[in-house]
Amino acid sequence: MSLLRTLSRLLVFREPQEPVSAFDSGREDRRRAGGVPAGSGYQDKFRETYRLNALLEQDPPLSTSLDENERLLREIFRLPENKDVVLRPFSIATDPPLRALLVSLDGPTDRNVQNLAILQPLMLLAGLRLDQRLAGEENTPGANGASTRQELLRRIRETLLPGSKVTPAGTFKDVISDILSGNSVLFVDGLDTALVIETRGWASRGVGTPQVEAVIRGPQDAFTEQIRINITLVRKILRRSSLVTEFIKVGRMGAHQCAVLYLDDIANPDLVAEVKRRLRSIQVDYVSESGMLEQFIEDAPAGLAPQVKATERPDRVAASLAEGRVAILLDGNPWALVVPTTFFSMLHAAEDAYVRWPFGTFARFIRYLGLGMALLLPGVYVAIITYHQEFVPTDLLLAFTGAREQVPFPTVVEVLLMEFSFELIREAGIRIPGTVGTTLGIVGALILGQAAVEAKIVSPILIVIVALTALGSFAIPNYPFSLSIRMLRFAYIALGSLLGLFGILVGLFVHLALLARLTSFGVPYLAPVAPVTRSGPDFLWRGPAWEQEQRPDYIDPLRRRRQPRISRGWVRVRKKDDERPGGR
Amino acid sequence: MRLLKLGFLLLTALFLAGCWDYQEPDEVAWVVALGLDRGRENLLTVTLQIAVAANIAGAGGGGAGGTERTALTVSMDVPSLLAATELTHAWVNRRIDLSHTKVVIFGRELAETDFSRHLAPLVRFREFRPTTQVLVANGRAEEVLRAAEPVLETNPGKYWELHTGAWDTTGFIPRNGFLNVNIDNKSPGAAAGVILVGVRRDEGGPPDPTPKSQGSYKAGTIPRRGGPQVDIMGAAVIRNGRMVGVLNGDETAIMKMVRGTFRETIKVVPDPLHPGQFIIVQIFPRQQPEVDVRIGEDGLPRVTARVLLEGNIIFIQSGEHYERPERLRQVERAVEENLRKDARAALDKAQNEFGADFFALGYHAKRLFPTWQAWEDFAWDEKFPEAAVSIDFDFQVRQIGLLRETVPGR
Repeated sequence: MSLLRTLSRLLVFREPQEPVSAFDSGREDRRRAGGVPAGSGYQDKFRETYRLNALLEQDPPLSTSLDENERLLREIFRLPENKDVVLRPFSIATDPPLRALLVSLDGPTDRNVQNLAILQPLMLLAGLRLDQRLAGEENTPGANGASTRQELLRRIRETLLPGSKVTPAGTFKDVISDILSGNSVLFVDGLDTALVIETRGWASRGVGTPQVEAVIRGPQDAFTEQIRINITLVRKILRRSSLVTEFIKVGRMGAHQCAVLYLDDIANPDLVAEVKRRLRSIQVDYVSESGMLEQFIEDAPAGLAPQVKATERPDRVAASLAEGRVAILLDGNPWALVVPTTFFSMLHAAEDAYVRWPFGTFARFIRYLGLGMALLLPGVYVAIITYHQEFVPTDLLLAFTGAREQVPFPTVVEVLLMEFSFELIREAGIRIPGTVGTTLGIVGALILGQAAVEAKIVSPILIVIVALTALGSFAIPNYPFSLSIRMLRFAYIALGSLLGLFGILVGLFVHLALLARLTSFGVPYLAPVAPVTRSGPDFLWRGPAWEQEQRPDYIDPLRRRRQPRISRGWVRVRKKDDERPGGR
Repeated sequence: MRLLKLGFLLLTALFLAGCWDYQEPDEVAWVVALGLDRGRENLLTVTLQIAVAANIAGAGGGGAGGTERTALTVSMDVPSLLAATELTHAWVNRRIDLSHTKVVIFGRELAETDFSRHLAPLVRFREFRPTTQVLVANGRAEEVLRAAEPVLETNPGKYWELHTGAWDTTGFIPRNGFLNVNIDNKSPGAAAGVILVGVRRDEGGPPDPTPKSQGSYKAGTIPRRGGPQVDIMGAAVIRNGRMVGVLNGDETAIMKMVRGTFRETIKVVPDPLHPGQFIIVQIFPRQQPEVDVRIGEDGLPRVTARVLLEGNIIFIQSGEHYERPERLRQVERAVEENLRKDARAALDKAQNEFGADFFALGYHAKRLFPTWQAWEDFAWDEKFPEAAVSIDFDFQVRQIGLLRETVPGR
């Protein structure tokens, strides 16, 4: 135990409690160059940063003094060093004129909107006659000063700013986050409330075709990096007033907008609450990718399979929402997370529902076969060839034997060699720069395939096994799931080589037990098979669209039935069915 | 920590269960055929036929080199069959594995004296499969194995497997498998008929061009030229653990028909209206045979077996219009008569010559006895030679082939 503690002390990084000169060498250089007194720059900066962070932590309210607000903003945004922040002082063309300040970031802000919807009306078209009471307020704060300031704010907001989305903000924290996300903030002298005006204009990729979850039949649009566009893509499919989008900010440093989407009249409220609870509870500097977010919210971080389904297809998100699931979208990220998810949905592809049901079902069975091969084939090969030779037909056995005759390694080593080479090809294939990508095919196919056999390093039959395994793992539609299968394959090779088929069966038993124990947001991972719950014809196979009458039971939605028993209204129904139209 | 310990214990327990018989297939010599003979310098001569995997798989990369040996056949004199597997290490550098052994061939001399005694290890030893075929050679088994060379296939295992598996396309090879042979051999009420294998012999004598049934031959005496040296045809009858005689192809077919293991045969039947000409029919079973056994007042069994067959006319040499529905009966009767003739010959061998019930009629008699003891006391094997057995045939023509009617040739 003490050994563990020592190890963890060595390996786990702890944030230093006081300023530690971590950049000694750098300072050394600077000192030599500029003659700055030793340590002063770092110490000062540290103190200043600490003070500013503490200030922001307190979330100070805005001041009524424009100058005071400007001073603090300059400090927070590190002006004048920082060239991105634009502070635009001007006067609102009222009578008498009011001093104002427009703060925005150069870049994420749409300059046209800023000019036409903020500066132009305020500077040129204002023409607002302020009565004496309002105008003189700033100099003589009186008994009803607060209410008159509100009145002024209301007037500016309601009559002077034609922007579509103008919201008041009272604290620096709000103001800063809006500025950072591309909005413009208007400060008016004498008001302790600023107005946030929507001027976002990020550069972003347009809606493209799905790169990972491609289909032949079905919609061809995929999520992009803009959360607003992504939500729009879902709303475009699911035009329903009960589709709710809630925003939760995740991350302290670069707070990312995280949207929780659900159908208020279908999703289980407990599920929605749990998703929001988990998201709100996250204490982290920075989460930029849904894959990172996934790790913060999944039930079992050491589980053998992903418990959150990531998808880049709006239609899949919409279908999941309609089933009563909850989707989580993260700003700047084209992958949506869908919870809860189950083992069977890992093997579903979007297209299953779009083609006629026999083909959807067939495709699914092919995928189960692929899963079995990707997971077990090399292990079973090793087991059979080294323990259970009586299993194979004599011809095949002699073919194995003959092929292995000049191979210098034991079967396990041979299999591991080839499997690792293949993993190497796959990893290299992802990392290789596109311009030299073609060389990989030559290296992979020729050198590892043919040449390895010619050189008698591996037997030709093994190449077939490895190829089948690879095909199997590529047939798994969910990438994170296929990653877990790829890794577990090596466990099965080890078991197969140590204990034969017995070992593989033991491994399978343990594997299934672990999967059965797994939950995704409280939903058993192997539902509806273990535990057995009621289910429509859409988990193992894919039934016809008109038979998908009920939402999955394990999600426990507010409304279970999604279409009546007779959903094809034109078919002639038998007498018995007539008696109970629409079923239960 | 406790969980760790527990996990460790469970993991080690798992490995206790392993049987640690990891073996690479290329470190094993795969025996595909075994031969057993009376020994010359010891009790037994055991012949092993080992597949040469490298030549079979063509891994040598030698292209069309079809002359490479695909089987290695070696004989040794040893006290018992399994002792041979140890002695093998003297001359082969690999472990001997019998799990892919397709056939076990007994030499005739050994089969006539000690068949049962040497079949026993096959039953107990785990590497033998119940589907291994048991064969009896008309001479010495080692000769057969040495002469057996696969021609159509490279793998000697496949050669034996396909060869003995031909029981369902010809009537001349009995259905076998050492499990069945063992049961027949040990049960009171049946004698085993095992596949007869033989090396071709030129039996001198004057040429004899008179018409004969193609089933009237036995392994080793089939008049043919060219091809492999080894034949499989007919059956050796084993009674009480000893071989008592040999059946030819036609008699073997009758045996299979009565046992219900018959699948297909071709019969050349003399034309009832045109002597010297033949009708050729293909025969299949229609239903399982109906066998009725009673015990007569004299204490002897009376057996009536009715074999239900159907078939197709392949060829009518004379061109007689037997195809007409009203005349089909003539063909059927001719076939039945021909089969009856074969059956008489077979029955004669069973009752008078061998005294062995290779038709396994005793299995049908068993149900007449309330207890096993009563059945054993009845001593079927001794009473069978005196039993009144009649074997009858019911043949129906199913199809007449592609010709509606034949115009007689001029």
